[in-house]
Parts: sequence; C-alpha cells; structure tokens
Amino acid sequence: MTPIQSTARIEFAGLVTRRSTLDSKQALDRFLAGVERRAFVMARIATRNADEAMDIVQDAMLRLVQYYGTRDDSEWAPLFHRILQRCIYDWYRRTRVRNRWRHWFTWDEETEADPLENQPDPAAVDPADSSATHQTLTALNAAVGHLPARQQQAFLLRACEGLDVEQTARAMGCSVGSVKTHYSRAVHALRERLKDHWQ
Amino acid sequence: MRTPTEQELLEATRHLLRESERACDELTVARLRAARLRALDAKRSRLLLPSWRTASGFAAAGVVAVLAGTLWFGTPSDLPTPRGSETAIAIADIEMLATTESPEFYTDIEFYDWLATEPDAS
Repeated sequence: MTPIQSTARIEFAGLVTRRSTLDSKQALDRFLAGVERRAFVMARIATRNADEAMDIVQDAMLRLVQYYGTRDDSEWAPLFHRILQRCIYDWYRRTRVRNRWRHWFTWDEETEADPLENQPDPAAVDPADSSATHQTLTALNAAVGHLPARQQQAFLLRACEGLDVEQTARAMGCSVGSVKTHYSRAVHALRERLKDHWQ
Repeated sequence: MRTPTEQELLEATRHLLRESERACDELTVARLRAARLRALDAKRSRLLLPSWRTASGFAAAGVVAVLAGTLWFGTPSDLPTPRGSETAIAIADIEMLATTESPEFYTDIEFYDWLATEPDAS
C-alpha cells in the first residue's frame, strides 16, 4: 500500500468514525427528547419540586450518555429508567438525612410532619376548577405523591411506562418479590385514599 | 363515591401523566432541552478519550518492554537472584504498567456499583 493510499484509508476511517459518532449523538438526542418530559413529570411527582426534578433528570441524562451512550439504542430505555429511579431514590435519601439534621437543630412541632407536605405542588391542578374529573385527578395526584418512595416508583413504572414486574425490578434494582410487594401496597393505599374522591 | 379498581387507577394515572407532560410550560421545555444538550456535549468530550487511551496503551507497552529488557539483560550474573517477594513485587509492577485500563475505568466502577446497589426498602 502506497503512503497516499494509507493516508486516504486513515482519513476514510476517521470520516466513518465521525459519521457514526454523529449518528449516535443524533440517536441519543432523539431518545432523550422522547423521554425527558415523562422523566421530569415522574421526578416532579416524587420530589414535588420542579427544580429538584430538573436536576434529577439532567443527572440521569448525563449518566446515561456518559456510561451507556455507546450501547445499542434498544438498551437505552431500561437503562435510563434504572438510572432515573436510582437518582430519585438518592434524592429521597439525601432529603431524609437533611430533614433529620434540620429536625435536630430546629426543634418545633412543624418538623414532626412530613416537610414535603408543606411544599407547593407545581403539578397541582387549579383547585378553583370544580369539574369532577379534575377533582379526581387532583386527588389522585396528591395520593400518588404521598406514597412512600419505593411504592411510588413501582406504581409509576408499571402505570406509566407499562413495564412488567421483571422490567420494573430491573429498573428499581430490586427483586421481583419486592416489586410485587411495593406495587400491591401502593394500589391498596391509593384505593383507600381515593375511595372518598372517586366518581 | 366508590373505591376505584386497579385498572381504573392505572388508566387515570396514565391520563394524569399525559396531561402533566402536555402542560409543561415553555420554560421547563427549554430547560429540559438545555439539560439534554449539556449531556450530549459531555459525551462528545468523552468520545475523544479513545485516542488518548490508545496512546497511553502504546506508552505503557513501551515502558514494559524497556523494563522487561532491563530486568532480563541488565541483571549481572554474579549478583544473587532476587528473592521471591522481590520478584513478586517486580511482576506486580509490570502488571500495573501493562494494564490498558485507564484511570477512568476505576471511576466508572463506582458508577456501576452505585447503579447495582439495591436501595433500602422503605
């Protein structure tokens, strides 16, 4: 092979690499664009705070791109769910620790209650809207928001993403049995809380 | 008023989430887009790494070759043979130098550990 042929071959290989990098970036962009709003809504239900939810989604997107960007695109969805749920769970853990410290240093009656209950819910529907459907959905939104973290995750992954028990277990990083337990408790709690609101 | 069935809960939750997605304001959509672009840009900077990895791999191989040559040809025959422990250390050093794993590999392991750890049940 002459030096010119060799150089041309190297340049061609470089072009192919750049092309595949570009394709991969576009594919990732499409995938993330397709899931980002849903991820944000799920994180906002969990945190009841739009800024926290935004941070969680950004973190999850960054981790997916960094660690799994080169994987086959069919693997992205389950991996993204897994990372997102892990980020949400980490947020719960940090919040719990933070609240414990706050409780320790500022002892008052209000800290006995769940501090998240006092935060405004950005997803809440206007209470002035008196339609029955909206009332039911508002109650549902609040009820899902008050589920314990793992129950909420199991319920939302099955309800919204349509994941089966095994897929939910992979996304949550726990056993199938745990998912069944969390999901069953979530449904039971929601039915109890909503029986006075369901039309 | 009545108790909803499981199916009704699932359908209503799906409806609620679809509505919430649609109701995302322009600012939120713009922030999500910016977050996505930031993540993708981070990927671009990471993709530059393989060329550095290749270069460091060649460098490590060169160092190993030099070291191996020094050990093989440079040890005077009249000196006593290194004891077992010293030989083991020398071999371990060579293995460390010969490894093609980048330092990022070890950082990545922390991430995979984090992802694999089963969160506490709540």
